[in-house]
Amino acid sequence: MNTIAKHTSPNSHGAAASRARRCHFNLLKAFLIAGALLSVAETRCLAAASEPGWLSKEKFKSGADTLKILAGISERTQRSVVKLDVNGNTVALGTIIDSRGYALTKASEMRKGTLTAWLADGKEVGAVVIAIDDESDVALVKVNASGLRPIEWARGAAFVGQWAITPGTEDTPQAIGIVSVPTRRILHERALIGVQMDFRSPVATIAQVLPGLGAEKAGLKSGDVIVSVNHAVITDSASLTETLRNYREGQNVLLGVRREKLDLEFQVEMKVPNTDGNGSSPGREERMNRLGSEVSRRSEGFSLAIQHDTVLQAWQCGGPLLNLDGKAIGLNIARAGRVATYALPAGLAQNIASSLKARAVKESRGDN
Amino acid sequence: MNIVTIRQTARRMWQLHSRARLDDWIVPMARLAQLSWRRGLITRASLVAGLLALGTIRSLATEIIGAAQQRQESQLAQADRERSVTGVNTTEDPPSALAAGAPRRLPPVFVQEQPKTIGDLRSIEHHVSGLVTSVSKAVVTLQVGASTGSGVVISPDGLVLTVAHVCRSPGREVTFIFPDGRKAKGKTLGINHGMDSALARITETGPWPFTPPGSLDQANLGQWVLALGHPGGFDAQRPVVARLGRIIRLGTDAVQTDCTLMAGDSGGPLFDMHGRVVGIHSRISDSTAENFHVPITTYFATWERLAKAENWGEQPVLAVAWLGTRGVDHEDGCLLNHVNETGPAFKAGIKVGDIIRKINGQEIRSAGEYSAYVRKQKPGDEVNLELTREGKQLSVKVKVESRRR
Repeated sequence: MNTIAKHTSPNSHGAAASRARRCHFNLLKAFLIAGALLSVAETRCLAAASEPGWLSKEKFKSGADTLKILAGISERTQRSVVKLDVNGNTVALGTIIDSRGYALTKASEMRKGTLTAWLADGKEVGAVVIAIDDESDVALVKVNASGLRPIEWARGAAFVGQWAITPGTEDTPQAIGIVSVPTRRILHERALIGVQMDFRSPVATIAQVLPGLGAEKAGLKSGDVIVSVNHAVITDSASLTETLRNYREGQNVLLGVRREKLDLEFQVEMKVPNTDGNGSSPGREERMNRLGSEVSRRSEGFSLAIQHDTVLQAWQCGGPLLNLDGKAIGLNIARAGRVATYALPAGLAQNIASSLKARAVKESRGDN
Repeated sequence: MNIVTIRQTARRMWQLHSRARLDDWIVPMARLAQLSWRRGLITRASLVAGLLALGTIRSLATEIIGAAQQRQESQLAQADRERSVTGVNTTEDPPSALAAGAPRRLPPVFVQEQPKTIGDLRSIEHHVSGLVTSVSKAVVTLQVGASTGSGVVISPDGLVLTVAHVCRSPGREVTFIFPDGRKAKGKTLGINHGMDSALARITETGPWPFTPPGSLDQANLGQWVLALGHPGGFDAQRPVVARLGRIIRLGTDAVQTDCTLMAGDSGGPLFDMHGRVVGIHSRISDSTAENFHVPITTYFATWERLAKAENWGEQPVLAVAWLGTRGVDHEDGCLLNHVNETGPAFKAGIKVGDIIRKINGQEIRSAGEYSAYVRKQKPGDEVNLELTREGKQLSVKVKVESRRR
């Protein structure tokens, strides 16, 4: 399923229409600024009223005073970042990888609608999604602008404690944090074949087939012994669980099964069971995870990721993650929870970029 | 009948009672979710769902973090808890920071009020990355009954600082997991529910990796701090998770920082830049700058009681506005599907099936809006509910009560 629509530049709209939109935008901006000022005033009052002993917000780790130090880095990188809007709502940042206007961004945020890109000079231009890497959730976007500057990638692995800067198109970065965990694989949300195992059995024996999941549809029965998953040998329930952890929702696995004296094979679809019924009430842990910032729609399942503690909003993903030299150590790919943001490491991001570009070139030749 | 058996009987009755009440409304919920599992599973699932739901209802400004998995405790764990703790007899002096020798001089950026240059930031980066390597070996995961949290070893013989809401009571069995996967058995010692402080110890023979405790006597607002822990619980594929921040408020009740915390971090250490423990992760609130740590000071002020495995203090009561109703979204507002018979709404004649349209004249468009509005009231206030009952429009006044969460 591909929900991404390709769109052409909105420059074809009449000048009057674009003026009207700009006017709306300015109004909105005025409101936002007024709102922000009010809320700042309010917080100040609260802080002042309750206790004098508070650190001022500007001095927080990612406060304005800290970000001010990084103005030089922002100045050098603001033309390497674009802000991407779909139908006028900002959905992601983009990382420029080529002066012709190619950018990488977070694919799952490219919803249906008119895609535009805001540049550091305040211009809004058209943009088109060219190619998508589903596995890593990266999209290649062509931005209709010149004078953009490709991001410089850092060499070497990110290390714990390293500053991680998320720049935008403004004069100072969006936010700063530190690398929290060395680069590692982030598993997908656990998907199931839908069986309950008999843990007393020395081999992988099914105790019960759960209703409504893949195993039942494929015809597995209680008492069946699973001996392989996609031809990898399964010795017991533990090795089955471990092997299945490598597959995600929607993927099919081929199970080798021993039923009495027969050797059988079943094609089973992996599924994430719907635990919260109508989906209206997330669990306690999940609720805590969302305290303070909204989590990206796709926030799991990356072959490699740097985990950092920068507090970003979901729409601030897709842009580069910089070190103190202003070079990209990664590409922000997901806001994963209250304590975690993930970035694809620079090496992986560069590989994805070149394969997406190659694919785009091939496809455009095919069109001719 | 001696006191212990009376207490046990009372507790048993309370358990049976509360379980029955949970099942009353959860089993229909489970049916709604079309769970057609075995009966045993239904009961278990409904208990879990019930606990989660109760957790949601109790949603409030400040939230205790910690237990990554809030499953119903097994009977065994319950029995363990009731055995109480007269058996542990530890009296020892608190480990002192001096044992670790005089602190090294910190880079100048840490005595400045604010970093000014990229060079300053580089100096922080260099120092912090070294610090993480040297202190993370002493950060442990605690598994106590069905809950998990974090902790920090502060002496070579295995004394562990953690929080009350992970340990819950003295004398419980604990499995400690070190970052390298090594496991050790131990016990919870003293618990101060009021401060959320707790002490535990590894009972197997050491020496264990440890990091000495520090002090907040010289602490300043804006001081840089490093938080380590296991957000979301122990994960063999992931080492200890590091977060950097600054002290935002120094209270006697808690230290507040912008080191973001999550469930599973509870009990984990907050380090100063010397690598000494100055706080223990305890609670969070809405904003990512609202992370609260138990000050190290309280552990030493109450050291004897903690070491003697005493159990004292009460979780601070936060009065919550309460009507005793629960509802679901309805096109006209909020449809009540539960009215607590001890609550003020019931006393005022509110019934299951009533659709709340307005509170104090404000239109209600969802169950969420309804409960948010109620929570914003002060206990003692009177609210005017406009509702639809069997097609008729009614208006009922209810006096808001308070309930501890």
